[in-house]
Amino acid sequence: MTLAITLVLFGVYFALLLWALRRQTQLVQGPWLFFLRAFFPNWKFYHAVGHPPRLFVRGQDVSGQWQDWQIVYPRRARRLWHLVCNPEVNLALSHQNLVDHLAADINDLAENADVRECVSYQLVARLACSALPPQTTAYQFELRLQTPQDHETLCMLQSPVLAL
Amino acid sequence: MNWLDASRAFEVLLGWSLLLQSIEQLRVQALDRVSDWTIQRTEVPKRPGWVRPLLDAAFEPVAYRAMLMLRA
Repeated sequence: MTLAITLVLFGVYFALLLWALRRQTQLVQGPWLFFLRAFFPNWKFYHAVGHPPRLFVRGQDVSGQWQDWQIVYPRRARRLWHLVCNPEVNLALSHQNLVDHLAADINDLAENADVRECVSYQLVARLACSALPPQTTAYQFELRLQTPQDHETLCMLQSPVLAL
Repeated sequence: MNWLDASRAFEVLLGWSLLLQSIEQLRVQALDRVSDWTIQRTEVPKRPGWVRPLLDAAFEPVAYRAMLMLRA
């Protein structure tokens, strides 16, 4: 019985994928499809080479001194065990995905809309805050487009000074 | 390999995948200082109306952890 259910579910999933591939001339959009996007493969792997967005943050200490801008792009040491279970890196990837999401939201932002109302902005603010040392009293973050070759950056967004 | 063997192999693979995902998610819950459901819930569409209360209950920390353990 369970085998039959598995086969049916398997068949339905691939039938849906086949249907979506054949309807490639039409763009299917919607909030629920967006939330469930992890279930559907995206074949636009290298659609265009662009400038990846990177998060930079700086904090102000108790004496009022601002630190230098620092990139929030964590790197983790590789372990063999990570091939099986790797929650730290998956979490870091989801955080970087938030930064990408904010960049996309800024590009799609309607005229006169406030980016601070975007969920991605509020979560990136929390991400920036989490990267600061504990003595920080205020902070500011920037979203910059960066090219790995020439290290030039283009500021896409600068937050106001935010209190902790 | 016939269809039944292939289907059984797929089920085993799926079960292993679900177990790993659940263990990872339990660890992620302990590590994550960024996600906040009170912020994220505003992105959920208002209709149908029963979805937000359902997700509010599902993402309540204790209930979510229990759900992950049940899934594992």
